[in-house]
Amino acid sequence: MITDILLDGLFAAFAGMGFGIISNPDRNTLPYIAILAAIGHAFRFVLINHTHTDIATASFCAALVIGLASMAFGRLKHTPTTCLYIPALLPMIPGMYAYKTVFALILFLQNLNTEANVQLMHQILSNLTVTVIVVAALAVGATTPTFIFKKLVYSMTREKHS
Amino acid sequence: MCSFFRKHIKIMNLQEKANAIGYYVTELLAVGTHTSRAERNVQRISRSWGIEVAMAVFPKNVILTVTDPESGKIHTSSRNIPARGISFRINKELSALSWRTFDNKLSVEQFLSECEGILSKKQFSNIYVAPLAALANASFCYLFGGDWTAMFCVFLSTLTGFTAKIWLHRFSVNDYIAFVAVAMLSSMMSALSFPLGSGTPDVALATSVLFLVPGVLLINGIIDVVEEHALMGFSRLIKSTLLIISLAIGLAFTLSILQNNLL
Repeated sequence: MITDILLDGLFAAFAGMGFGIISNPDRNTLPYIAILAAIGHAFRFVLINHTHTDIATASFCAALVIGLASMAFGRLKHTPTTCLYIPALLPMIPGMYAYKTVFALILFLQNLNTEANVQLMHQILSNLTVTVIVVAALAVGATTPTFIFKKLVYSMTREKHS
Repeated sequence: MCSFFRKHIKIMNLQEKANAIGYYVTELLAVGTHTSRAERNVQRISRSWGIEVAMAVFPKNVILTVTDPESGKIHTSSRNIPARGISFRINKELSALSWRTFDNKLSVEQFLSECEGILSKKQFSNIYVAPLAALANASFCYLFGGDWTAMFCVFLSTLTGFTAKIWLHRFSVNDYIAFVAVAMLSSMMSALSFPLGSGTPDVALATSVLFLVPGVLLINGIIDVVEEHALMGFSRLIKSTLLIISLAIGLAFTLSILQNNLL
C-alpha cells in the first residue's frame, strides 16, 4: 500500500516537472513543482482508493492542498503561486474520461440508427460530465487559497518583507 | 519661457513613464500572466513613480491612460500584446521587478534596462524540453494504469509530437491546425503499443495527446473570470476550449481508424 502511494507520488512528480518545463519556469522552482505534484496526486490517490471519495471531491481537496503548499513555497522562492501550482495540477487532468468521451462520440456517430446509440449517448454524457467537473474542481481548488489569503499571495515576489 | 520648458519636460516625462509601463504590461500579459496580477504590478510601479494609471485590458491589446496628479497632464496610448510563448520565469521576474521598483524607487531608465535584461535571458533549450515532456507524459501513462510497453510508446509518441509541434510553430502554422495534426501524429505513434503487445493500448492512446492540454490558458481563464475580468477570462477559456476540441479531433481521426482493434 505504502509502495503504491510512493510510486504514485514519484510518477506524478516526473509528470508535473516535465509539464512544468514546457512553460519555461525558473530553474530553481522545478523541485518545488515536483514536490507539489507528488503531494497532490498521492493525496488524491489515498482519498480515492482508501477512503472511497469520488474523483471530483478528491481532486478538489488535492488541488486545495497544492494551492496551500504553493503559498509556502512561493514565499520561500519569491515566485507567484500560479507558476508553481499550474504544472503541479496537470497530472490530475482526467485524461481517461476525456478519451472515453471522444471514443464514445465516434461510435455514437457511427451507430445513429441502431439501439446502441442510447447507451453510447449515456457514456458520452457521463464521461464528459466527470471531465468537466474534475477540471473545474482542480482550478477552483487551487485558486481558493489565493482569495482567502489575498494580502500574502499578492506580495509573494517581494524580496524584503515588512 | 522657463515655465513652458518645465511643462514640456513634464509631458515628456509622463510619456516616457507611460511607454515604459505599456511595454512592461504587454510583455507580462504575453507570457501568460492573469490580468489582475498585471494590473496590481502596474499600480505598484505607478505609485512609486507618482503617477496614476487606468488600464483597459483586451485579449490582443491594452489601452493605458496615465495621469500626473501634480500637473493634471494626461497621456493615453494603446499597445498590442505580442505573440509569445508561456514563460513562468519572465512572469516571476517581471513581478519581482515591480516590487523592486516600489521598494528601491528605481528610475524609468533603470526599470527599462532591468526589463530588457529579464526578457533577453535564454529560455530552456528544446533539446532538454522535448525528452522531459516525453518522460512526463510517460509518467502520466503510469498514473492512468498503463504498463511499461504503453509507457515506452507514449514516450516515443510525445517526443515525436512535441518536436512536430515546435516545427509547425516555427513555420507559423495556425494553432488549431497544428493541434489537430500533432494530436493525430502522437496518437498514431502511440498505437505502436498494439504490435508491441501492450496490455493497455487504450491508456497509451488516451495519454499520448495529453501534453497538448493548454493548462495555463485554462486556469488563467478561470482566475480571470472569478476576479471579474470576464472579457479576458472568456477569451482565454474560448481559446483553450477550441484547442482542446482540436486535440480531440486529432485523436478522433486515429480512433476511427483503429476502432476495430479497440472494441
